[in-house]
Amino acid sequence: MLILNSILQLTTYSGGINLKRPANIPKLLAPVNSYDGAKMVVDAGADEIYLGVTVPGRLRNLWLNRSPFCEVSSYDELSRIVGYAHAHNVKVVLTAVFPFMAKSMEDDLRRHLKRCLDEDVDAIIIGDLGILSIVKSIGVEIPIYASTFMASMNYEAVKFLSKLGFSRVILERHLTIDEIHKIAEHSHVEIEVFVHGGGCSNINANCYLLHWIFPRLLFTPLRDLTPCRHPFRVYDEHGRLQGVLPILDGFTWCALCRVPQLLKAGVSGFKIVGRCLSGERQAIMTKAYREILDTLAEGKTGGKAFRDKLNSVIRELDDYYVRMIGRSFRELFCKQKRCYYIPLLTAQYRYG
Amino acid sequence: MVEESVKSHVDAVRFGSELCERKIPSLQTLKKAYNLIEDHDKEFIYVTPRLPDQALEKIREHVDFLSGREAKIVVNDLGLLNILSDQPGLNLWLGRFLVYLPARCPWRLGIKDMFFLTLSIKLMLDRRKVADLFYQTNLNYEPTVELFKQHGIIGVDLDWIPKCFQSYQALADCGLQLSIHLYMIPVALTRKCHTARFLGIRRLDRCDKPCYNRFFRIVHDKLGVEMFLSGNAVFRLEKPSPKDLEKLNSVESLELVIPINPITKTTSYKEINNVIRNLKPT
Repeated sequence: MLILNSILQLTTYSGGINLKRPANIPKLLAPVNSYDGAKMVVDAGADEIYLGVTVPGRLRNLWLNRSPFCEVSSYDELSRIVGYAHAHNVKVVLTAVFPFMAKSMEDDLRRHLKRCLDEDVDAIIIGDLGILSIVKSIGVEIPIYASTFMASMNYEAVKFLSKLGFSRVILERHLTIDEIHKIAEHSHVEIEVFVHGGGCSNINANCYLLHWIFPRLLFTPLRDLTPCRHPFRVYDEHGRLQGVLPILDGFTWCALCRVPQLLKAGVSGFKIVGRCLSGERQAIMTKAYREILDTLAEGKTGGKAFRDKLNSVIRELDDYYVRMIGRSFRELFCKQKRCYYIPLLTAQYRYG
Repeated sequence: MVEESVKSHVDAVRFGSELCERKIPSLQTLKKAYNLIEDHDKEFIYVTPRLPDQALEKIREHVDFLSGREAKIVVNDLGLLNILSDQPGLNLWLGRFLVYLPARCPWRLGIKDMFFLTLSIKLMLDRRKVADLFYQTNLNYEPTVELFKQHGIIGVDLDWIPKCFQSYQALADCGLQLSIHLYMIPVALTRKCHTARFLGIRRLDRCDKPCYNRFFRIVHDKLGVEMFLSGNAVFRLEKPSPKDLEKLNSVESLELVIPINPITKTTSYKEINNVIRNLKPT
């Protein structure tokens, strides 16, 4: 058995657990913000991990879509993470942190990216065409992935990005599975989709309800990190108060039930959101999707076997959520139908 | 709306939607609007939103109609840009949903307010070091502008945020023509329409577009920040002034875009003319 395991390890393309997976099973990408977290998600079965690294100097204070607390804190830590991940055949994908690029950021960002790329990361995610030009000018030949900040919603957009040198495109979250299917069918590059956590209420690239500069310390409990989920007083066009409710909350959370459909759609990567979460939570989610994908890899794409696995995964998540915040996963997400890739959220408004 | 616009003193009329794929007009309506605008000697500008594949197919027909007519098209989707950059005889404009501009954030001034909220003066000082970046755009980097120009972009849509005018000037210096939208600054855009959900519309493919007439003023319950929900987009308002307009005097090619909608109470040609009159220096 030991010998067989070694052979399998040698033939494994990637993967935290040493099994060769069928080609049609998407890669599972998990978020990481520390070495300890990286160890947990690699052990939980991620095929690839993705992370940002804190930019030293004044850019450390530019909080747009992320704060430095969601990023790996130093190049040394990045180096240790890469070492651990590569030892387990897991790829490390660097995110280029900022969704935009201005002239005055150039020197700091170039230095930072060069330093990160020296650490032998396997690919880089870019959300801005200016940053793409910097990466190209550095001359490192690793795959370049287009971030959701490119807001790719059709296959012509994917074509545009592939002409610029992107080899994988992460699609916008606000699509339906049919739309994803059409894009994947026509595309010659890898198509990746988000499957879990942080399914934004708005299109990422066009949302300026910036979480991290929201002056929340005055009154807001920590759970309310996202302004779009806050209650607003809603007045109609005649000035009549219609209610106080989280009217901008179109937040989705989960795609566990939809994994078989996404598989059929021809997606090649599943991405879990949560760079700002604890390593434990990142690992729990990674494990859940790993188990679902492994069940599908065994050919159990429908029927009782899949449903049983799904139920057992959700039961585990229920236990975890009850333990952590006193409410079950089903209550928080399933009952409210906070499902990824639905055209419109119709559940009742609920705050908190 | 088009009928009111052509009667006013504007030089050009924008037709189409920059917000919602469900508001893309039929080819027949587009032709009708084009003829009406041309008959009144106004420039025709076609505006397009972010597009999934099925909407992109619809726009292809429109492009075929417009391509021989030297029309200006505002592009808010990279896929559409990919198609149009190969088409001769079109003037392409980068829409504001392809321009990243952190100053759109409704609590952007929070950077200063943080002084009162944090115990760390150092943190506050550090944040000030990057405050200028909030007033720049993703186009304030030459390789980005060059890339868009290579794809046929000659102008760009921006918002009326006076603190950003200096960075807009830099774009004009790079050879881009500028169009600045008055009053309404987009804060968020969604495809899971917040208005439809609030009004109990269950299926977006059956949406009868109440947002043409209706809007909601929304006020953050504790912070007091005021925004406006119009269909699938959230805006904040910024009132233009002739004094601020003077700051853009040196921009050679400048266009001001007047929104026609119930939020700004500009729905008739008289109200449009009023906006124009109020912007003229006294």
